[in-house]
Amino acid sequence: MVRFLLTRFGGAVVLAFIVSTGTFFLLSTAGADPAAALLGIDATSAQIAVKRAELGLDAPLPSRYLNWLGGALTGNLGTSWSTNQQVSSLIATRLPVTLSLAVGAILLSSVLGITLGYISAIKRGWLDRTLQFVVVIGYGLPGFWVALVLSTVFAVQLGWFPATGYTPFTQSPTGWAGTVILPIVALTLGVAASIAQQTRDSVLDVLRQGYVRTLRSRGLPHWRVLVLHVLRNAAAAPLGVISLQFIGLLGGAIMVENVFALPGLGTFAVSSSISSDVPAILGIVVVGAVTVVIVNLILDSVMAWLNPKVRTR
Amino acid sequence: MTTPAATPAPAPVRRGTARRLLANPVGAASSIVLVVIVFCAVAAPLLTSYAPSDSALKDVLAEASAAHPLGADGSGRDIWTQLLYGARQSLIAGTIATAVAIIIGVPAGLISGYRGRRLDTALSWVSDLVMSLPAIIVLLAVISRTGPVMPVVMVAFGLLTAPFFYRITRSSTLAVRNELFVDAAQVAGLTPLRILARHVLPTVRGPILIQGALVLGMAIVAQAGLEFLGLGDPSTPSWGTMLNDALRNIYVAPQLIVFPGLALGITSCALALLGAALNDSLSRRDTAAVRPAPRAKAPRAASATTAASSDGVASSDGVASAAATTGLSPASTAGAALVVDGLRVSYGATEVVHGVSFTVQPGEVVGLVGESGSGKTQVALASLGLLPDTARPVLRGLGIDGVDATGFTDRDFRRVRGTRIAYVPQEPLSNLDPAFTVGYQLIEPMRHHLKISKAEAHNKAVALLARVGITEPEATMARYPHQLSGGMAQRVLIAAAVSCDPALLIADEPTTALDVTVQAEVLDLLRDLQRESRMAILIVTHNFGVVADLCDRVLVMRSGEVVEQGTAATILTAPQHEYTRALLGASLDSAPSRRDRDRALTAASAVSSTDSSLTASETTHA
Amino acid sequence: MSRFTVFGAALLVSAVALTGCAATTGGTSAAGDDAEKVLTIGAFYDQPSFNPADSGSGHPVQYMQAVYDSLTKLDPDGTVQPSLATSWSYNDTKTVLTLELRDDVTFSDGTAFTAEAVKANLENVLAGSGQGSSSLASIQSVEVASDTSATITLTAPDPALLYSLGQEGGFIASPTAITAGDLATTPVGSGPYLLDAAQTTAGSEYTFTRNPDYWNTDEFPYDEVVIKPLLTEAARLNALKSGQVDATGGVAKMVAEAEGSGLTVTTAPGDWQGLHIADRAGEVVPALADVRVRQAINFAIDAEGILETIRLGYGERSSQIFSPSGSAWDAELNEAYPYDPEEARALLADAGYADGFDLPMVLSTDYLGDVQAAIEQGLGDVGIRVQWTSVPLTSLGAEMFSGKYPVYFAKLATTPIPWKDLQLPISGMYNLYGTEDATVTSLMSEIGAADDAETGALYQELNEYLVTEAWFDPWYVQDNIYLSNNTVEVEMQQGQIIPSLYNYSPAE
Repeated sequence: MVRFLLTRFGGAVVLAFIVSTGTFFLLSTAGADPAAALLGIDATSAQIAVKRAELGLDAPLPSRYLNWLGGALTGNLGTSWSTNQQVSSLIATRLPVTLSLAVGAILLSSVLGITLGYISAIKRGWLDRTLQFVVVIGYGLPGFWVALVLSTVFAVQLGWFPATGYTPFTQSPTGWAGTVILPIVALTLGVAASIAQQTRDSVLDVLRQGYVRTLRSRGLPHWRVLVLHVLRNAAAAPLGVISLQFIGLLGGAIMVENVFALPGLGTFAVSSSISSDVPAILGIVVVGAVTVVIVNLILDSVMAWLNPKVRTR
Repeated sequence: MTTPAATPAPAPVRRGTARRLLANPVGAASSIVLVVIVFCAVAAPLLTSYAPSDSALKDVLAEASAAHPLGADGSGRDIWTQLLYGARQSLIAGTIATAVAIIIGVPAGLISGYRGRRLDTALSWVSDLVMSLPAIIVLLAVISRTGPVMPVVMVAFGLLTAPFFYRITRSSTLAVRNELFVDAAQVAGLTPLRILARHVLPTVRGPILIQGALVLGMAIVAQAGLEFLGLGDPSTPSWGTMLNDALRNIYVAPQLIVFPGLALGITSCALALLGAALNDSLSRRDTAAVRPAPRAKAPRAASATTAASSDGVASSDGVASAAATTGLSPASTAGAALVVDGLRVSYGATEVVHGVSFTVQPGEVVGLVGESGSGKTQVALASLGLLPDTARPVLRGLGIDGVDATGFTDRDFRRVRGTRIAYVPQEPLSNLDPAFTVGYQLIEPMRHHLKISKAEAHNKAVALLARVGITEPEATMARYPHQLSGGMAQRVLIAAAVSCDPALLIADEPTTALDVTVQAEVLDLLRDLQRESRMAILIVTHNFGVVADLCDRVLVMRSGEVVEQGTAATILTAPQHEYTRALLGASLDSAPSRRDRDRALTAASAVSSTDSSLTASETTHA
Repeated sequence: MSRFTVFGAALLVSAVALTGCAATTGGTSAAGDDAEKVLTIGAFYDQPSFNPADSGSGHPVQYMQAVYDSLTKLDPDGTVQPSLATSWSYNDTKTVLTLELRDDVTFSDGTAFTAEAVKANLENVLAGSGQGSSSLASIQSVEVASDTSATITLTAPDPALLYSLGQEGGFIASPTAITAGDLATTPVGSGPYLLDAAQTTAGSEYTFTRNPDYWNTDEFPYDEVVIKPLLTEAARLNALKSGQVDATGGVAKMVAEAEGSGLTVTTAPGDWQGLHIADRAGEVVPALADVRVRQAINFAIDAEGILETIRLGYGERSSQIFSPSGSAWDAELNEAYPYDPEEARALLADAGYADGFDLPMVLSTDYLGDVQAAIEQGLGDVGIRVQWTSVPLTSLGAEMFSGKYPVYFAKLATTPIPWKDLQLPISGMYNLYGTEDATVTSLMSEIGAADDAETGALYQELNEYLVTEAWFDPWYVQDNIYLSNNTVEVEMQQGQIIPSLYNYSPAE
């Protein structure tokens, strides 16, 4: 188990390195001049030249890369071109917002999805059919559209929640809840649908296994068989889906943050992309990839722990 | 009187995947929706008189009218037209992405699965890497360099989703690769390409289609999302750009979010539904055909103990009818370990057990013999109340260790399972919960039924394991099922079954899945246990050697009916029914006798104790 | 008994504390009471840098005005008033400007404000990449005559200079801080407020607290100003409606909703929008060399229609590139080009283009999206076939000024100073092919040499020439729209997209 964790961690480091290098070279190759993009349409060539010098864009590519890499290894991700802030502090400020959404959505959709999928697999019948239908709707509706509708109905029209803005948890837990509820719900629908579907299939699969019948033959209580044994064995597949969904959630969070004007990584990513702010985009991509890896590591560890074949190795 | 014609258990109807898909209402509906969407996209010029860029300032944000059936947008363009031409954009975008993903992912998976080794490791590693990238962020990075050029962005998306196809292709390829026939094909000189094409691609076609439908939906939504963020090309109509326009006009015309959102949602849902339906039709899960039956409840019938005389339904053609030889008299049923009276089992419209009645007396070993499909397992499971949900058992009466179990619900059955009636299944390794240790699975029922402490249960379990012949019982307690051999696992299952001293043990072909030498040991074990505890055993088997070895009485089943009953000696030496004779003839000829087998065993373990000779002499069984 | 008293007291205390908390969170307190007056403004953009050298024009002005003084100050109607510069004078040729300066101003780091500071700042801005360097482009050198006097030498007369010194060209930071090099994140100025770093989160909220040593406190009634960048229109309106901000910029589409929510809507003329027919020499599209073709373009687009339907009427139909608040404005000129496709086609036929011609144009979603269809339709109807190239916003500048697109859509500011309005389209980069015209050149040099009283007539003559020669196809001057709630009174600043910070006051 320890060896498993170590290899995964090593893989994470390598991944971060490769992703950052790849992105750096992708962003630094020919394309729009970032200096011109940052200054806007009315910038004169003299102004652009000054800006280029400021940003160090005229240095050769390999040296720029090594500079960035050296800084990144010590935690310095450079300075954002469009805001002059340190990229690392910008990300540090904004990451909690995005994580609130992503983690909140994953937790809520896991609970919802696993519960619904499980019940649906056990009960079957009309409940199962209804769930299947709801699952597809949830899966098919684009998250940003749902966010738009939720915002229009619950925030703008009914005024139950603030339509924009974010209150940090440390400032006011209830305020924080109010600002993240709608975005999390918007994100949850699609993810819960996937998880429910996967759980249902997995539980159905387990129920078909011989040992379930054999366990029942021992006269064990209903809940013991269905919850302790079935759920335990059915858990692995949904966990796999959850980890995939988390990756997708980071993208979904971008859309939803834009609708609700939340100061998270998502809005930052869009504005950085529009303004061609290379250090910022680079920082976001790296942090995004690392976050995904960490979450996957956690989930994989749980899955491995659940699987005796791995645990006993 | 006539017997119901013997029909086999329902076999899956052989239909093509496509036809099965369309027979599934969900599959049909989603296919139709998608065809309509594609048609709208292709035939757009026919369905509207406006060109996609036609606009009229007087029509800005116009409401629905004859000229504009769905109204007009913020630039005065007809919404219906925008939807139609926007469908083109979405479909093209999705197709590019999906095509790229398949073109990259499938060959990579094939190569990876087929070649294996380092190439596989490298490709798998790359695939994991790509899957860890948050797609939208990467696409934003791409757009920041290349601009909102849809084909480029969709190619990038295709690359990001290629791992999905890589993985399913790879696992299918691996599965086939390990088949023996592939080696044979290679020896015969078939090129890898040929092997892949003929054997791998057919199996992986289905999953690719399903995944393709899903990825297509994902790509369309992702493309729309990017356009919604303002990163699209405003001079080309598309659903995402329409939503961007809707957002700009949210205060003056909130209704603009409806139609492009619906278009996106319907397309995406239809693709998801199509994927689900494809999944069902490919794995032959006929969701519509078989209705889940209500929880099997035997109708309240007359009590088993008073069921007398002619249950004519049980009779087959004349000779040695089950009813006549069951002897379901009050004498035989009172105090019996098991009473089954008039059991019928149906699946859907097909009846597979046609009125079976018999008893098992305390301490008796009864063999239930028949070929596959005779219904013997159905009878065994019905006695435990463990038939699948799709089965409909009907009983005139059921008695378990003196308890009237007629009309028992599952909850009622739980009271007697484990304590009065127990079960040993056929496949040992797949009948142990892989996630829990041997010790846990032994202790669990004991603690529940016997209400003893964990320590006590632990000790009992260790003793049980020793009793069933496990050489290191303490160590085995901590093992997981995947660490056991087949023989050990079956012993564990037997130990678990007898742990709470049931009056009756139902063993369903307990040795069929084991090696020959192990078979003998397990049978010995069963016999010893039975002798010690005077436990009744109902053993289901197709092997007359087992019958000869263990059984006091035998029931012979064919096609859901008991065709002959009798003592083991009678059945074996003087079978009445022609079927029984046929069975005996077939089996005894080919299988070695018990005596021969014992001799082989003795010879093999010549160095072992002298007890082996004692074992040999105890083979004759009345 | 005592237990209840204690409990009751605790209840009372916590109730008071809670109401106290509720009162101070959520923005402004009621006007007129002794509590701190806080103004919360929603901004369109974040402020990337407090260094005047980096500063753009327009939206950044409120951030800058919070912490810096400018050399001159602009009244809401655009009149240039003294600020750090108490008086000024030009020499005869209008190429040397002498500024007399205040002697009682100190920067927040203790440095005194002198002519040295003026020199350091102007040179800083000129060397920077912000728009200030364009506004001050006419400055050749800055000399320190004395502590309270600075001399600015120009390469040519610049009637807009004093105006620019009240905006992005004239923000004065501490010269010590300029040398230190961290002005971008740590502003050091002499202005009415100080950046409160503890209550500031870059990108989401900037808090400015009153500078206790400020020399002109009366101008700024608020003790604290908070600026929150809210990047989407919806976010701004929602924040305003829910009370999270007191005032913010708006767009036409929001006005009905805003008024319905009881918000105040104030407007002032802003950008002119329309087509720049840059290729007057016909280098890329020969047809455009003919004035009839250019006039045809003016007739072909239904500018009034666009204004009414897409801009919801918030603006004024205009064929001029100047502001109604300036002296160049001539209302009659707006009748010159009514929407008349017939006339357009006739003109094109006269010029020999009865079959029309192809016209490459460039577009980007956020810059053109909503009028693209109208342009294509209008020009298409008279035979001019537009071929679009779509680029992302980041590449738009490079594309637009690459010279590939002889006609392009743009929006340019209009100000009370017509000279400023002429810079980009005539003398600057918007004149893609650098077309020169004798009439235009001579008029402009006359204006440069003339006194303020005489320039009006000259501007009008130039204006009429530009309209008749159809150098541009202006459609309208769009309104700058500003929204506020009932706790604040706002006066618009002419020629500036958002009000100056001193234009806000608590409502009575």
